[in-house]
Amino acid sequence: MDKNIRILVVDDFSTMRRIVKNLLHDLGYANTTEADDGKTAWATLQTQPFDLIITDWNMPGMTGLDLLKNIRGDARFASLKVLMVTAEAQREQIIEAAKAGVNGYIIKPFTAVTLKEKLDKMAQRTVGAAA
Amino acid sequence: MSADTDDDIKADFLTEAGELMGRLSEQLVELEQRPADRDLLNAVFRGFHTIKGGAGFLHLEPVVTLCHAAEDLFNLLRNGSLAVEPSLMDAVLEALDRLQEMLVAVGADQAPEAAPPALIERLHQFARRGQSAGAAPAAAVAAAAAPAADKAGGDVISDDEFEALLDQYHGVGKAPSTETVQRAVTEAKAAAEAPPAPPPAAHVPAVAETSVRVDTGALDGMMNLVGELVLARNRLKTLSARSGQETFVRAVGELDHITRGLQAAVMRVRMQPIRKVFARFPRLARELARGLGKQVEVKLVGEDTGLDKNLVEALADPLVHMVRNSVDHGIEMPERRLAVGKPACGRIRLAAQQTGDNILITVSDDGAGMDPESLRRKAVEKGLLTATDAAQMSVQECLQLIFLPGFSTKEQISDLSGRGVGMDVVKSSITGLGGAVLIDSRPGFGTQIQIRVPLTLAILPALMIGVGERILALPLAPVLDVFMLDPTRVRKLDRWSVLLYRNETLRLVHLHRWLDVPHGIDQPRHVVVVQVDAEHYGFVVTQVFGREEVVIKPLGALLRGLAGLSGATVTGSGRVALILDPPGLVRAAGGGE
Repeated sequence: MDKNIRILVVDDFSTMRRIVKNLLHDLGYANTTEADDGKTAWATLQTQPFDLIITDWNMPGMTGLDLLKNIRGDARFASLKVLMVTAEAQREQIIEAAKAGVNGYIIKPFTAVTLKEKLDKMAQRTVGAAA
Repeated sequence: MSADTDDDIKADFLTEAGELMGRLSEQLVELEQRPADRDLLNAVFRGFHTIKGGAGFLHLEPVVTLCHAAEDLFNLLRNGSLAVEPSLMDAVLEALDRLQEMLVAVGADQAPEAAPPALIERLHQFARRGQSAGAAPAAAVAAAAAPAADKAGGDVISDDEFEALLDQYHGVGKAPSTETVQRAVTEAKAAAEAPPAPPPAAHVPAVAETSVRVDTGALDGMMNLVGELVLARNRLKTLSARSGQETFVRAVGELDHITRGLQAAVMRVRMQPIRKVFARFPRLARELARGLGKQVEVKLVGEDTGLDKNLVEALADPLVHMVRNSVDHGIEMPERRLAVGKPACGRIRLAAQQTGDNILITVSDDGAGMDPESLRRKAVEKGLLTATDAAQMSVQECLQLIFLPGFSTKEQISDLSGRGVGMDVVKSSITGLGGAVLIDSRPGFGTQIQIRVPLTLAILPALMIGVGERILALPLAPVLDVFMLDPTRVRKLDRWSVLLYRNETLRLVHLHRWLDVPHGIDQPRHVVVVQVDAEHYGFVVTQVFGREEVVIKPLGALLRGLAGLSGATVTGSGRVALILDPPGLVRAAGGGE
C-alpha cells in the first residue's frame, strides 16, 4: 500500500491508539490521525479525507460496526478502506462485519508483520462492479 | 519499535488501566445495588476487555488470562444468560484485587505473577453455567446468518473463510462498496426474512473531541506561573493605588480582573472530583467489616465536589485510616447494636462539600462513640499529660487527645487500625496541607470527624497583619474576628493572659513577644481571633492591613522547620512576609510570658 495514505486510528483506549500508530510507523505509514470513539471518528470523517480507517470494534457511544455501517451507507466514502480490530474472530461477528462491508479484520494483539499482511491483502481487492 | 517507546506505551497503559480499574471497582459496588443493569454490566465487560487488549500487546500474559476470564463472565451476564450473585461478585472482586497487584508489579518493572488457578477456575465455573444456558440461541443465529461460511464449523473464522465471505457478498476479488453492501443486506433479508436490515446510516451530528489528556507537570508549571502573575499583579495594584493616575488605575483594575479569572480557570483545570478517593470506601469498609464479623454500609455524599488534584491524592491515606478506624473501633458487633436498639448494619457516611475557599470533608459513623472522660484518664496514664492539665481540659479538648502521638484508645491494637499509623499521622498530614481536623463524638451515638482543607495548595487567602515593623500573613480560613485590644481588660490565668470575649475566656498570644520586636507601650493593639483545633485564641498584633491573596513560597533553609511558620510570600508592596501557622504558633508562643 502507498505509504502516504491518510489513516484514521479509532479506539477509546489511548494506549491502543498509540500502539497501532507505532506499528504503522514501523511499517512506514506516518500520516495518522486519532479519534477516541465512533462518533468522533464519524465527525472527523466529515472534515478531512482519509484512505484507511483502523477501528476497534468494541467502543462506547458508537461501535466500530455502527461506524462501518455509516461509512458504507455514504457514497462519499466509496474508496475508504476499513480494517476492524477485534479481540476474537467470532464467526457471527466477522460475518456481520463482512456483510456490512469491512475490508479486513485483525485480532488483538498483533505484530507489525501481521498488520502488513492484512494491509497488503486489503490492497489486492479493488472497488468495482461485483462479478 | 525502540525500547524507549515501549516504556512510554507501558506507562500510558498503566495510567489508563489504573483509571479503568478505579471505575471498575466503583461499578462493581453499584452492581450490588443494581445487579440487572445492562448498561452497567456492559461497562464492566468493556473495562476488562480494554485492559486485556492493551495487556496483550505488552505480553502481560497473566493480566490477559485473568481479564479474559472476567470478560467472558460479564459477556454472559450482560446477555442475561447468567445472573449476578454474591459468590460470583466475590470472585470478581478478588480478580480485581489480583489485577491491581499485577499492575503494581508491572509498574515496578517486575513480571506479574499469574492469578491463582483456583480463582480462574472459579470464574470459568460461573461462565460454564451461563454458557450451557445461552449457547443454543447463539449457535442458531450464526447458522442463519452464514449459509456460505458454515462448512468449517466452530466459533472462530479463518482468513480464507473471510476472503470467501468478501467474494460472496461483494464480488470475487472486489472490495466492499456502498452498492455491494446494500445488495448483501437486501439479499440476506430476502433470503431469511429474519433479522431486520441495519437502519440506513444516519448522519450523526459532528461531535468535536471535548477533552484532552494533559501531563500533570504542565499543569503544575501553569499553576506556578499564575502564582508569579498574582504576585506581579499585587505589586502593580500597590503602585497604581499610590500613583493616583486614573488611566493607570483602570488598566491595573482590568489586569486584576483577568488575573483573577485566569487563576480560577487554572484551578478548575486542576480540579478532580473527590469521587476518585471516595469510590474505594464502600468496598474497603465492607471487606474490613466482613473480616471482623461486623456489618457496615457506606453512604457517599457530594462525591462530585472538586478539589485540587494534589489534594485528592494527599487525602487518600488519611481517609483510609479514618474509615478503618470507624469500622474497627466505631461500629459495634451486630448483636451489640441490636441490643442497644440500633440496626445491625452500621452506617458510615463520607461527605464532601465546598464552603467558601475550603472543602469540608466529614467522616461520621453511628457506632459506639468515645467517652471523653476515659480519654482524659488514658492520656494521664500514658504520661502524655499531667493530671492538672488534664483536669482543665474541656470535653472538646479531651476528644482531640486521640490526635496526640502515642495515643491509642484500644488496649488491644487490632491488625486493622493499629498498623503503626495513628491518628497523629492523620492529623499532621492534614495540617501539612494547610487544613484542620476536628473530632466530635457522643458515647453511644457515634463519632464525626471533620476535615477542612483549602481548595488549592498554591494560593492562599491571607489576612495581612503588622507586628512592630514586620508584615506577616495569617491564613484567612481560621480567622473569626478582629477587634481593638483594651489592655485594662486583660487578666492572668495560669500561664496565659486572657480576655473575656463573647462570654468565653480567650487566651492571648502576643506576637511581638514571640518575634521579640519592641512594642510601644501606648501604641494601640489589635486582637485577631483565630480558631485552632476546637479552641479560640487571640493573636495580639500591632496592625491589621486586610485581605490579600498570597502565593506560598517555601521557606529558606535557615527558617525551615521553625514552629509557627509555614512559608513565605511577597506582598503587594514588594516586601517579604512570613506566613504564620496558627497551631504551631500556639504551641511555640503559647502563654510564654
